[in-house]
Amino acid sequence: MTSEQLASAWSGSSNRMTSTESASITSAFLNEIRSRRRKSSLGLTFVAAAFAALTLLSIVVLLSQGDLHFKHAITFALMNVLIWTGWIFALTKHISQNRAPVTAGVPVREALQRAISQHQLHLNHLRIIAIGLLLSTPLVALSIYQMLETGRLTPEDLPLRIVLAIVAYGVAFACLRSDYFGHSILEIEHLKSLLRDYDRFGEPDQDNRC
Amino acid sequence: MNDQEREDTFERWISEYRPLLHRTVRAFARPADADDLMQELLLSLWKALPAYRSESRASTFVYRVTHNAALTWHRGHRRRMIETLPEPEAVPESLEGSCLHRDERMLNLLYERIHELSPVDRSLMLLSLDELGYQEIGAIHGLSSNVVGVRLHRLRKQILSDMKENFDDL
Repeated sequence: MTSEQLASAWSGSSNRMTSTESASITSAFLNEIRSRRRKSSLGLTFVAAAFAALTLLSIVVLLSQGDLHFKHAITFALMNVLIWTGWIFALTKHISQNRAPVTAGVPVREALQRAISQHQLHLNHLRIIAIGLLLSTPLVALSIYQMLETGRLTPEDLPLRIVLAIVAYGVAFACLRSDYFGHSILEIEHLKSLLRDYDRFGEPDQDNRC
Repeated sequence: MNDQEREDTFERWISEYRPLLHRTVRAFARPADADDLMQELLLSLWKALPAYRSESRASTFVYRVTHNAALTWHRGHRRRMIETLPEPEAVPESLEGSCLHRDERMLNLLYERIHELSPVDRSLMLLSLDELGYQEIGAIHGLSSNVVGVRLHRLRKQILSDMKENFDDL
C-alpha cells in the first residue's frame, strides 16, 4: 500500500459526482431559492399594502368625522405612501441581495471564532431581554399599587394587570430556560470543541517534522 | 452582484467544484445524511457568494466555505456522524477481482479511516488528498504551512499503516 495507490483510488471515477447529478441538484436548489424569494417578496408586499390601506382608511374616517384637516390629511397620506414604498423597496432589495454572513470566505479557524462571538452576542441579547422583563415586573406591581392607592385603578381592572404581569414573567422565564439559550450554549460548546481540535496543532512534535 | 450574476457564478462553481462537494459530503456524512449535508453546503455557498471578491482564488474561497459548513454541520447530527462508518457500497459481481473492484474497496476503506478522524483532521486529510499544497491548506484553515505539514505527516502515516493492515486481506 503506497501513497500513489491511495491517490489513484482517490482520483478514480467512483469518487466523483456525475455532471447530470450536479446539474439536477443545482437546478433544484436554484428553483427552491427563486420560489422562496418570490414568496417573501409577495408576503412583504401584502403586509405593506395592508398597513398602507389601514392608514388610508383611518385618514378617511378622521376626515369624515371632521377631526383632521384635509391639507394635513394629504401630507399625512403622502408621507405614509413614501414610508411604505421605501420600506418595501429596502426589504425586497435585502431579500434579493442577502448580505453574506460574517464567516463567509474567511479561513475556517477564524470563521469558527467569529461564529462563537456571534452566538455569544445573541446569548447576551437574550439575557438582557430576560433580565429587563424580570426587573420590570416589580415596577409593574408598584405602579399597580400606586394606581390603586390614588384611585386611578379600580379593583375590577386588577385581573387584567395581573395577567399582563404574569405574561411578562412567563416570557422572561421562557427566555431564560428556552431552547434559544440551550441552542446557543450548545452551539458555542460545539464550536469551542472544534477550536480545541485546532489548539492541538500548537504542540507540533519537533522530531516528526516533515 | 445582481441576482443573475449570483446565479451564474453559483452554477459555474457547482459545475467546476462538484468533485470537491461530493468528496466533502462523503467524508463528513454517512449515506443517509448525504443529501442533508449537500443541501447545507449548497446553501452556505449561496449565502457566501456576495462576499466573494474576484481578486482572490475561487477554489480557496469554495474550500473555505464548504469545509467550514461541513465542520459545523453536525450540530444536530453529531451523534449520528461521529464514530459512524460509511455503509459499504455495493460492488457488481462482474467487477470482482478487477482493478476497479480493488480501487473501490480501497476507496471505501479510505473513507472509513477518514470518518474515524476528528472533524478538523478529516478536513485536512481531504484537502491533502485533493493534492493541495501545505500553503494552500494553511490559507484555507488559517494555519501555518509548517503546522499543516506536521499534522498531515502524522495523519498520512496513521492512515497508511491502518490501511496496509486491512488492505492485505482484500
